[in-house]
Amino acid sequence: MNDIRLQVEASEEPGTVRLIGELDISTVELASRGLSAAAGAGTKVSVDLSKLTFIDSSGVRLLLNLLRDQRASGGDVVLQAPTDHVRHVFDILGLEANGVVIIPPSNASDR
Amino acid sequence: MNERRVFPADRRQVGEVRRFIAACAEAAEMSDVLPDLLIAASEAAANAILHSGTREFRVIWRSTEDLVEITVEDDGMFVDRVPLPEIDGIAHRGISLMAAAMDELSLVEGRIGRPGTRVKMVRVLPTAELIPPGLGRPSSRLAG
Repeated sequence: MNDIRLQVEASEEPGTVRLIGELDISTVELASRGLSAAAGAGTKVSVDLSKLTFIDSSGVRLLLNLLRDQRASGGDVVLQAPTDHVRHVFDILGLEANGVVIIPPSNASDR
Repeated sequence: MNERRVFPADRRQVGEVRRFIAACAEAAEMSDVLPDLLIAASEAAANAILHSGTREFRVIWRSTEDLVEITVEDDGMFVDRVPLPEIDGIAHRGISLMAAAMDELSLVEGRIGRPGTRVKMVRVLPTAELIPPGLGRPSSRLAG
């Protein structure tokens, strides 16, 4: 019961946060705190999703709320290198078609 | 194949529901549709955990050669209200995800005097004879 399902890592690069594991209703609070800590007003936040193996609708809501807040203050959010599963969820919900910036993985072998 | 498991209505159980579904899919040799089954089962379980107001819920797997049926049921009440997109933002995203990931979705809403919410989701499996090789699943009509 106490196994850690999600890790939030501040990357070496400023403004970049890496989500590792599974983002769902049990881990969304943890992710929210990590993202808030990295997201200064008006900054561009890069969320590294290359190690995120699952996302549910609560996780998508968190990312979209972050996007709304950053854009409202002149910043932005970039979703980096989503895994196949996470990309599939983004595609079902039409995130990219609605102007969310999603950078595909640069090297497929990384996954 | 039939499997049934009772889960405590605790947020941390949503990952256990996914692992239960993954184990069922592996036993039934249906790993190709597993990502969609995980999306759908996880959303249904999250609804039961967050909104049923009960202590536990049940996940039932039924599969044949042609289809998978996942049922998530609890003994609670279903709280619904038509969302106001202008105020609520895009609500009911979880239900959209379930509908997109599966082929059939039915929802029996528990009411006062008749508690018990049941979400039943069916995914029809492609057969080798019907689907030419290389043809994937068409993109969702719910997208966008």
